[in-house]
Amino acid sequence: MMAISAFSPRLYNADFGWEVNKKLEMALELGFLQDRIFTSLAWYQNRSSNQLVGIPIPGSTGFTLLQANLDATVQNTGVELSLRTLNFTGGPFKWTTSVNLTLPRTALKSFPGLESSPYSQQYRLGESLNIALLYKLKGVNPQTGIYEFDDVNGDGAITFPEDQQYVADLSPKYYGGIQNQLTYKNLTLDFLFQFNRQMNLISPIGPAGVMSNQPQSLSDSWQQPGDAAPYQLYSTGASSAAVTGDYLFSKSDGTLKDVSYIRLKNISLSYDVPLSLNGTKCKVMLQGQNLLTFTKYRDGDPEFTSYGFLPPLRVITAGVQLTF
Amino acid sequence: MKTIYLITKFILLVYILLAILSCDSFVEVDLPKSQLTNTAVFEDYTTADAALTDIYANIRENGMLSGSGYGISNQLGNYTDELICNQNSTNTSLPFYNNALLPSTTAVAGYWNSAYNQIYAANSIMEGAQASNALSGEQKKQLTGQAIFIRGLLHFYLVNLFGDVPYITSTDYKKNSTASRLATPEVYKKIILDLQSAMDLLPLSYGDSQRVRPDMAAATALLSRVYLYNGAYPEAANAASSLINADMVYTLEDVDSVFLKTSKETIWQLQSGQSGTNTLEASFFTFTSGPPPQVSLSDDLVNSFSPSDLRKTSWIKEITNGGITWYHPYKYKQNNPTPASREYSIVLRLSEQYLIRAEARALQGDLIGAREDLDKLRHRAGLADSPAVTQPQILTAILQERKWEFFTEQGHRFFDLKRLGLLDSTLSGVKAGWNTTDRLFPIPQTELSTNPNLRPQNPGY
Repeated sequence: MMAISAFSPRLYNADFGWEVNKKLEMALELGFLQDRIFTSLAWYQNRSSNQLVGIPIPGSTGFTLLQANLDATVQNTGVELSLRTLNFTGGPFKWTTSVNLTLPRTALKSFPGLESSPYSQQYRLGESLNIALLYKLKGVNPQTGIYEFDDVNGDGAITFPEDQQYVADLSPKYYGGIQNQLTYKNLTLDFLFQFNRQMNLISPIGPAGVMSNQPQSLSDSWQQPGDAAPYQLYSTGASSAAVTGDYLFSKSDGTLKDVSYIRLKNISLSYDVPLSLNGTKCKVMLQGQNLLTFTKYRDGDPEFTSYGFLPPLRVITAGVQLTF
Repeated sequence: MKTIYLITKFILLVYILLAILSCDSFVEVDLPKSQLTNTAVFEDYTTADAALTDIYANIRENGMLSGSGYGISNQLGNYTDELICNQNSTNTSLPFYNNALLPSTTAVAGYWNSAYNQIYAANSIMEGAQASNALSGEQKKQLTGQAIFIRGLLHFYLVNLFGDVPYITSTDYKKNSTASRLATPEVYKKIILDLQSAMDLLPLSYGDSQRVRPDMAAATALLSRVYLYNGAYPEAANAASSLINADMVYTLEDVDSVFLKTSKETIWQLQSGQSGTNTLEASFFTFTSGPPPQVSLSDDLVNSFSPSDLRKTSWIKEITNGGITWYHPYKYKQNNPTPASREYSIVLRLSEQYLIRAEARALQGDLIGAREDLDKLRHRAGLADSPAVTQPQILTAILQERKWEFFTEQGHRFFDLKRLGLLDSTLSGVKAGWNTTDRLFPIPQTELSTNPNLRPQNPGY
């Protein structure tokens, strides 16, 4: 038996070219008061064009991807800022603070023929690459209990792509961390706060009403005519209107959630036990991870919004380290 | 000193030039030793024919005609009134059972993509055979005939599920990626042309006992179905007659032997992957204890059989567990490997030709001839002559017979109700989720996104 296939694993493309990357970067480092205040500021701009990527193509070609050069220019710019201050030095009490902050920006600079390309419903010129085009949710119809959406082109129906045009930027606006280290004699306290400002799409696992788990918030659903509820009626899947409503909801700004957070990522307290024995050290430690989170997001962990997997764990560790 | 400098400079220049010139050979990567280029495949009939065989394997495993749970034998059974599906939310049959397909339903995109992938392969066989200098005229006819049959076959199922669809006849992806939807009658015209070419190119019958290659008979069988669907009754009856009359090769079998791989009733079947493996249908539908893990036959269907109908006793199996009884399709009985394969997945079989001719005859006013064909199948199933007398009665009896004969076989039930305009009246009572617009599947979302020419979406989605 010969294993020969007329199903090429991929389409043949004779027109490969080099990808072009142009990078520009500037940085400034400044130290004041004998480096007790130390800052560094960096700015970068990367432009890549003619990217060699797997371009989605219609299945009617026999394939769903084509490896080819994309005639588009993407610009990544950003500012990275870091600051370290030695608040107290010299004495038995020492305090150091480090701050870092990143402000990233991605934008699609040019894309000739975007409108007629396979990406017409994925990208918008001038916007970030990490956008989503969404239907605009109007709410639940109090009479039918089904989601309603903005009919952008006013044709009386919710149609793709005309009505799915609301642009949501899902890339982080900024993120960073603040670390503090405080030492008093043998006692050291170390803690790190992380923060991130970002929107994300969070859609339920499936239509509420089928046999699967759902976020608790979905208990606030429409039940009878007159109800003003944020979520539509439950359906086992037999109601086409509910299934379609749920599908459109999953592609609407109803799923757009603010997942920004400030989180106490790490904290550790350690104490060097003073011992008079020569060459012997004893250190007692207490460490914690993910102890505190401040967020508006209510349906789980803002840092890890996928379903079906464990989010970052809250871990508390205590230990004694002996060296001899 | 100066000469050394000059020599160095010269050598450097040569190196740079070499580096630039040899760049090509770095960029061009040879194919792995285990792969052949398209042209190489068609240097030799054995490899070209193996490439063709690979399409049949792909059809058996992926897409609409696969006997697995993903194929239409199961999914259209759920979509209509043949099967009941387990309410487990991860069951891929559930959206079909609920008649709640979405443009994003993976299985729907799977049908579309697999079919066009198989059509691409068929087109590349045709183009490769055409361009080859090494193959003989007879060999080219063989390859082209089978490939063009596959192209017609797949477009037939696509147009029945999705309505207007692109008809793809080349491997040119630049052209195909902007393909527009062709009106259904135009798609059918092309299907008929393709099947007629296949009939011209292929031998009457391969005469082997395997029947795993489409031949002229297979093209005729599909063509007679296409004629029936399009109201060309004399043509449908003639095509069916040519197969019914070829009784040296094709005869009705006993109910027990219809689905054996040696069945004389089979016109075309898909060979299983390895010797000893049997059908995907049997492994999917069979269960030995309740409740059914995936799907079971609906009580409506099971109870509609006359108790003495041999198809009920032979093609349906009853499973009782804790006082509850379920039924599963038992046409294919080998759900485990056997020393040698005993069953293959049958795509076209003779009994359909009897029912096609019965319907075509009835619609042309030949009621006696229609009943003769209908009763032929009833007798085989151990039933008496049909009591139907008038034309409408006979047509109803034929539809009923098709329901009993072809349940869970490649969506016959759905296509019959659809072409006869009976979907709404038959299904709205039994299927809570049924809507008139469910007669067409949605065009996959990824297709609408990547090819604007396919818009607008089918109504209702």
